[in-house]
Amino acid sequence: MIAGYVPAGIDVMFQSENGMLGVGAPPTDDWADPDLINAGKQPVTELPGCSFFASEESFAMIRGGHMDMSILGAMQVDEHGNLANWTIPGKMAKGMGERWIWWRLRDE
Amino acid sequence: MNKVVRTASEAVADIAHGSTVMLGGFGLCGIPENLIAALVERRVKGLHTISNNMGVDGFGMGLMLEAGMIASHIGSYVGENRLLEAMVLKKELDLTLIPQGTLAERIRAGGAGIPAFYVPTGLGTMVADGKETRQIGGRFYILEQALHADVALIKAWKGDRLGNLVYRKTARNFNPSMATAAKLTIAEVEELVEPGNLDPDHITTPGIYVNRVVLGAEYRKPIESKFIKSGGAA
Repeated sequence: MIAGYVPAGIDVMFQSENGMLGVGAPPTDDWADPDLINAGKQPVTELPGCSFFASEESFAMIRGGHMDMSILGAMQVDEHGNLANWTIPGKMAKGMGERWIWWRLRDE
Repeated sequence: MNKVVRTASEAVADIAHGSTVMLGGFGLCGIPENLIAALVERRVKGLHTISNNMGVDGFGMGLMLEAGMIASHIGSYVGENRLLEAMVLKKELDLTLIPQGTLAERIRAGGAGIPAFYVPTGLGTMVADGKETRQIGGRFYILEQALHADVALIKAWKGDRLGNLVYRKTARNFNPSMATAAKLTIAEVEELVEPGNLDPDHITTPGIYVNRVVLGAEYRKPIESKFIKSGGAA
């Protein structure tokens, strides 16, 4: 989603936690590769220089501090910037976002 | 050496009720769909599953759930499955959610002979409840335990009869680590090739980790979330 708002001329490489660096735009026609998705499970395309890797390496690169910036989805945020992003007391928790990752960007 | 099994049914024929089973995949991408179908046909019960997600209603692990085969599940995100939500709220299924990077590393550690490790993720939250914490280099960490399974069901793109595996694009995800963390690793592949046909530099899972290889009979590979735009912006 965010990738669609990057101004022209700014060079950004997006990581997707499911194991890809260099995520490209969604496919523009009826063609989509089910083996090529982002963390929102949506089909994407490859940018030149992209790479694929396994989940443990994906999170090693995130946890290891190799990202310049992370973009998070959240359910709630307070005035100090604290995020509620994975559970609501007494309700079904569906899963957590980690501190450094840019998943859960879908509307829920 | 020949690890090839003729059918998915034959590959899962001896999986016992109550087994702990790891299943590769992220959402519906890179899931062992033929092995899941074979397991569902056998109606193996009381399984303790470990997988990042839980399929969707009507496909992938959702089929196992609908067949009442799962007693407990460890994963990171299960938001795509309404039946699971209902079962958890009725306490028919014991669900444990783990931050995804911790889940991946716990599986990796399981396969690598590392019993536990420290991570910062989840510190000061419910995730840290009951876990040892330790200060290292001025930061606090929580101790996370390795994960193991009786069986790992994984999906690769190509494989040979020695069990060497190559994955395709983002269908790799949890498959290589799970292949290392179970007593019995069963891999289904889209193409079965002769040893020597896979470039040794490209083999992601060396055959030593794999006990059985089966050629998947057919692949549906549904795309979970259609988001295809005209014009190119992501």
